This record gives sequence, C-alpha cells and structure tokens, in this order.
Amino acid sequence: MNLRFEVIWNQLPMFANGLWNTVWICVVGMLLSLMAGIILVLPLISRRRSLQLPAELFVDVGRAIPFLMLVYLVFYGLPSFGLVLDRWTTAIVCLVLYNTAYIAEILRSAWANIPRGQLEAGRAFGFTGMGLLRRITLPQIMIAAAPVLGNQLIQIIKDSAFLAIITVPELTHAARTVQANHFVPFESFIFAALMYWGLCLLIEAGIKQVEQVRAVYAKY
Amino acid sequence: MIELRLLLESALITCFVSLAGFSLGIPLGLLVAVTRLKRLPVITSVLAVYVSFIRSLPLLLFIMLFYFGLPTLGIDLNPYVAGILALALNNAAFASEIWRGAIANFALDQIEAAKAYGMTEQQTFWRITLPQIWRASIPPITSEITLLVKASPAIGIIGIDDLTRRASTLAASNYEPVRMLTIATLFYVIIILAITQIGRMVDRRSQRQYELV
Repeated sequence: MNLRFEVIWNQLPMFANGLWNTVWICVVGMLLSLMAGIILVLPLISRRRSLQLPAELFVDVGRAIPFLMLVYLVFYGLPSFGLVLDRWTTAIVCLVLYNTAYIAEILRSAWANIPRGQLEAGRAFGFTGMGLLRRITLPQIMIAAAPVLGNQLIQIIKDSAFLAIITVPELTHAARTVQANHFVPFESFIFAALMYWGLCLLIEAGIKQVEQVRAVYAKY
Repeated sequence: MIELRLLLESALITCFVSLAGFSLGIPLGLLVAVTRLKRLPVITSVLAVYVSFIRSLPLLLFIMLFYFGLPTLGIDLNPYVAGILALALNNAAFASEIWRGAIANFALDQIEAAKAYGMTEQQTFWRITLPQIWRASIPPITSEITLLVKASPAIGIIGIDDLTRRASTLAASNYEPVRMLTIATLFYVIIILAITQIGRMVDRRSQRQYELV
C-alpha cells in the first residue's frame, strides 16, 4: 500500500472545477425547483378536489422514481420524441423535475402547521387571494420551512453525483476522471468525499444560523 | 417477451440488495445510536464523525470508494458484498439519527419506573424502551427504506445489474429507450408503493396492539 496524495495536489484545479460545477448546478436547481414548488403547492393546498388530485398524483409518483432513472428517461428517452437536451440542460431539468415534488410537499406540511389565526386575521384585514398568499401565507411558510429546505439542498447535492454517469463534469465525475487517468482510486474518491462533507457542513452551519435568526424573530 | 423477464429479474436484484441493505443497516443504526448515548470517550466522537460524514456523502461516490478505493488499502470485496455493505453503512447513519431522536424523546419517568421495579438497564432497554421507540420510528424508518431503494441504482456503477442498469443496457441494445425505461420506472413505483403500504400496515397493527394493553 502506498498512497499518492501528491497526484491529488497536482489535480487540484480539476477538483475545484468539479466542486464549482456541483455548487452552481445545485443552487440553480434548488432556486428553480423552489419556484416550481411554490406554484405546485397552490393546487395542493386548494380546497377544490379537482385541482388537488392531479397535484397529489404528481407529488406521489414523483417521489417514487429514483433520480438516476429520471436522468436516463430525460437523457435517453426524450430524444425519441424529438427533444434532444445537452447534458447541462438535462442536469438542470432533472434536478428541478425531481425536487419540485419534494419541495411542494415540504411547503405543504409547513402550510398545514401555520396557526390558522394568522390567516383569519389576514382575511379580517381585507387580504384576499394573491394578496393573502404573498403577504401572509408565503412568508410564514418560507420561514417555517427554511431548515427543511436546507436539508433538501444537501439531498440535491448528494443526488447530483448521479449526473457523473451522463458525464456532467461535476465533483464525482472529476474524481472518476482523476482516478482513471492516474489510477489513484482511494485518494481521489476520499478527497472528493471530504469536499462534499465540507460543503454539507457549510450548509448545516447556514441552517443553524437561520434557526437562530428565526428564534430571535419569534420573540416579537 | 424476453425483455420483460430480464427487467423483472433485475427488479428482484434491486429488491434483494435493498432488503439486505436495510436489514443490516437498521439494527446497525440502533447500535450506533445506543453507543453514542453511552458517552464513551473516543468511540462516541468517532461515531459522530461517521454519521456526519456518511450523511453528506453521495452514495455513488461511497460505493466507488468502497469497491475501487479499498483494494488500494488491501481490502478486496466482491461487488455484491461491497454494494450491500455500502448501502447498509449509509442506511445505518440515517437510521441512527431516527433512533437517537426517538430515544431522546422517550419519557424518562418510564425508565425511572422500570428502575423502581428492580429492572436492570438491559431489561429496561429490551422490554420498555425498544418496543416503544420501535413503534414511534416505523413511519420515518419506512421513508428511509424508500430512500434506500431510490438510491440503490448507485450499485450499477460497480457492475451489478440492478433495475436501472439493466433498463439502460436494454435501452441501448434494442433502441427502445422509452419502453424499457418506462417499464423499469413503473417497477420502481410499484416497489415504493408496496413499501409505503407495508409500512402503514405494520404501523397500524402496532398501534392497535398498543391500544389493547
């Protein structure tokens, strides 16, 4: 056994590039799926059954498909319908399709836990429809759901590793490339793993910050 | 149709590997949770690092580290053993957090009552704590198992012909990607729905037993 960590040192730009791609793909994917999730949660919390049912079906089925399967469906399946997406577009489309269902469900359960008095008070002050949603419901849902959404971001980062299989040059792909070129499997995979760890610890610290701010805010 | 049989066969591989993964992972998670609560000097911090590290590690990378990386350190594993072990270790880290939460929320007065009745710590754990935290943990454990099944395509990277890998190789060989991938997706939906239904059934049954006491 002789470990050659100097290879990793020499290939640092490759890892840094992979890390950067992982970060921006996941952040863009998270923001877009947050928007899509907000739209999808509207029928979910609607009182009309005819709107609720299809949204529930989408959420339930969406959460039963493995991420890699979805990637294959989009990357290899869609061209049969004449829709060819490059790997970057596939990456973003898949992250958004996959996470929208989860985020909608997170927002729905945050909505279910808002004190009803808030909404009633809002109505009493003359807020209706979009106004009520934008000024009263949505801000509270977002604050309540913030830590869970942070955990979802960690989940997105972990799922994004599967994108290495369709050769999106993110962190796992960088590790695979370095290992293939220099035959340093243990060193390159453990190094990428440590980078993922650091990234997730950073997000966890962020979640703690948000929780602290929220605790202060809750006092007033 | 030959493809359907091949897909069905690989669905069984997915089921088997997942079953083996969580059958090892969930008890291991309990062991990790209980050991962490014992506050042993070095072991507790090692386990805390293990849980934190694994929870932020993509399964795909973990499996490659296990299968391609460990031989560098002189440990050579067969793909099935490596795949199942990686799934189990991954699952154990998440399960341990579920167990830990359930133990932390467990009513202290019950433990004190057990002590007053002269039960040893061991007896209290097996007869009082475990049956109740098990009941409380059925729903989160069920959803952890569905996450395990959905993460299991990662084992395809070390050459195990699970449902996802088989579907993609069939799609590449018969030029019918949509049909192959859709059938495989349906299989996944069926597996996941079956797990959630079984989870609900076990949950309801255990609640009913509890009411009878």
